[in-house]
Amino acid sequence: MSTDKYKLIVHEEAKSPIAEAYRTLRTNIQFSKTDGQLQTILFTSSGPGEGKSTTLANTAVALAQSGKKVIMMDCDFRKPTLHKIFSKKNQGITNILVEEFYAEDLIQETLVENLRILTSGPIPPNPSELLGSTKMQGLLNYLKEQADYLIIDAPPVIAVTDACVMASRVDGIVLVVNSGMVRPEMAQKAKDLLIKANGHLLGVILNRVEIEEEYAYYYYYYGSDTTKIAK
Amino acid sequence: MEETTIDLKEIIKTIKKRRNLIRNVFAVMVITTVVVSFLIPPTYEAETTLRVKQPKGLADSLLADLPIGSSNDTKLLMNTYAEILKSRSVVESVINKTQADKQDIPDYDEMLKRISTLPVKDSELLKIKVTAKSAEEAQVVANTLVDTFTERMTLLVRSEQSEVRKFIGERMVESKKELEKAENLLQKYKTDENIAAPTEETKAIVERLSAINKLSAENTVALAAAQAKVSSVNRELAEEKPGFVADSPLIQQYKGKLADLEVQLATLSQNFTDKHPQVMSTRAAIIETKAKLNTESARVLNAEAPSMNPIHLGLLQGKIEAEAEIAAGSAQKEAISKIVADGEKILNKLPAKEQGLIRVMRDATVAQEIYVMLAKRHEEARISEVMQPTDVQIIDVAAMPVKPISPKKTLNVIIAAALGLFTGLGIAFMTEYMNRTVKSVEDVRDYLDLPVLGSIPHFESEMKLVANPGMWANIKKLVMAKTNKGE
Repeated sequence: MSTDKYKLIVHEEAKSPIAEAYRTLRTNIQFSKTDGQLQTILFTSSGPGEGKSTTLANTAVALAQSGKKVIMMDCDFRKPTLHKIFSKKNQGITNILVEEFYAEDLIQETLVENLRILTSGPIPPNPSELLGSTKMQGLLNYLKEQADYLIIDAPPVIAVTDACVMASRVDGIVLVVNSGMVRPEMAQKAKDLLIKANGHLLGVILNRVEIEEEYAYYYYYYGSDTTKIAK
Repeated sequence: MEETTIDLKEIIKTIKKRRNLIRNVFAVMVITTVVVSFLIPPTYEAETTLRVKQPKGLADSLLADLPIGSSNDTKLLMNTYAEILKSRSVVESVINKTQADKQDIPDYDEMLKRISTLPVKDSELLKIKVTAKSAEEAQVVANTLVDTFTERMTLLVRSEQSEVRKFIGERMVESKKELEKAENLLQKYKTDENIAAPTEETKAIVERLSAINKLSAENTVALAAAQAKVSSVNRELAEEKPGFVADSPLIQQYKGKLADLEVQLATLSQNFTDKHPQVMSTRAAIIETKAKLNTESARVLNAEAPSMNPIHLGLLQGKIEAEAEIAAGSAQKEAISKIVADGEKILNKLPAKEQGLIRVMRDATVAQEIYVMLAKRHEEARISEVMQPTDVQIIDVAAMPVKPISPKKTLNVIIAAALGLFTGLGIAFMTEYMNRTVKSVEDVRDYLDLPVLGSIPHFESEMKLVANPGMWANIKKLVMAKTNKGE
């Protein structure tokens, strides 16, 4: 069910186990092993309605709370949602790419300190081409200078190519998987598409996990070496 | 996924996850059952009990060749009566009496489905159950059925008895004439020969001959009755195909034994009165042998019956008995004639006058004996004709059933509940296993070989957890409160 009221739980209920889970997630992302720096992170999922944008928003808030400067980019030109979560007017990336707007004028502050947002802007007719354009690359380079982390929202992998277009231009990709919704072969397909597009997959965020699993803490080392430490 | 282990935790998780589905399936099943149970028109059952008597032989003798009155015979008898009860003539008569006002009158087979007979184990009781759509009807039909059945039984017995009575009645009229003739002759002889009374010697001879005369008379009457029985049975059997003779070595043996006993009785009667122990034991042996013959012929009939019609079987059995009696009677008759011939030799030594007197006296005595016996037999036949046959007794008449026997609401609901639960669980587990998705950290590791950066608990269940602390939490709270009070 994608009837989630978009909740910034990390901001609103900082003490809740969910917020705790996001903070753990933030730590895991910050210390993910990569070849070089990890500054731009793309959030995507295999199919629609897996809670991608909500997860992204909360992760971004958690990162900002740790004192890092974070800019969120809504590159889901087909179904933009980030501006709704933060209740912002939707004027952003497509205005910069298509019209003659400047990025610094359209980056908006949010109610969370250190967290800024660049919304998608009006829906364009050719999203994937825009994402692959040099102007987009330039925008990314400019934004990297403005923040410690760029968190980028992208459409689902399997439906459209947008995410794969972006895959090679970011430092890391996070695949959001809604627990109990995605068939294994779909998730595998998404992973393969991203790897073929030269993307660097940081790992998976399991979203909407049944409550039983919330008290387990997982530490991830390189690769798939997983150790589970019970409470 | 090379091997799947069933984990209790997994199972509980699945049940919890699908509890709505399980609950709905359960509720739908139970509610449907309840509704259906209340919609089905109720069926009522009335029950009556009959006692089926075993025709008793005499006290068990050590010489008995076969144990009689065994449970096996009771079973045979029970089944015979049960079949008669369900026979077309009885059931159709019941339909006519009880179902005539119905919109659709049930036919024989439909009615038969509503009747069940059940022998009570190790007893002579036969339970008869009748189902109907209303309590009153069940009661009425059950009682009508039993009444019709006993009437039918009575009719069967009576038709035989009335045949015998008629026959003996005719014979009685004849024998009365004969008696009058013999008495007239005696009277005439006495007048003609001028003899007032026989001499002492003559009296003694007559005395001696009287016993055999009596037996001869008895024999004549018994033969007549047996013949009457045979002819009555034959008439009843006329519509059936004849030509079946129940026969077995045992039957032959009993027939022979019966004839021998009858002859023995005749010889004994020549010298002894009825009170002599030997005479008495011989008579007892005759009765016992007859009983054995009956059970044996019944057994043979049931085993090798030409038809399954129980009434027909009963008739055949009667025929066999009567035939055995005729055979025995004929044998006895011969023996008696011999003894009578011996008596004649003694008579021939007397003077001619006395001889004549004795002859007419004897004729008169025999005629009288025959007449008396016939009169007795006639009376017996008349009584048994109007008597209820006592080998079937109604122990319980049907009472009005209080509760319908079906639909069994409680049982149905219990079954539905169990089935609903299992079906619900079944569907839940099926969907769980059919619907393979990435659910857990382990799945991600197995299917994707990617690290899990985080697992975000479900918002909704999180909310629930806060809003609705579980049973355990409540119990804990209570316990804590108590201990605090204690302190």
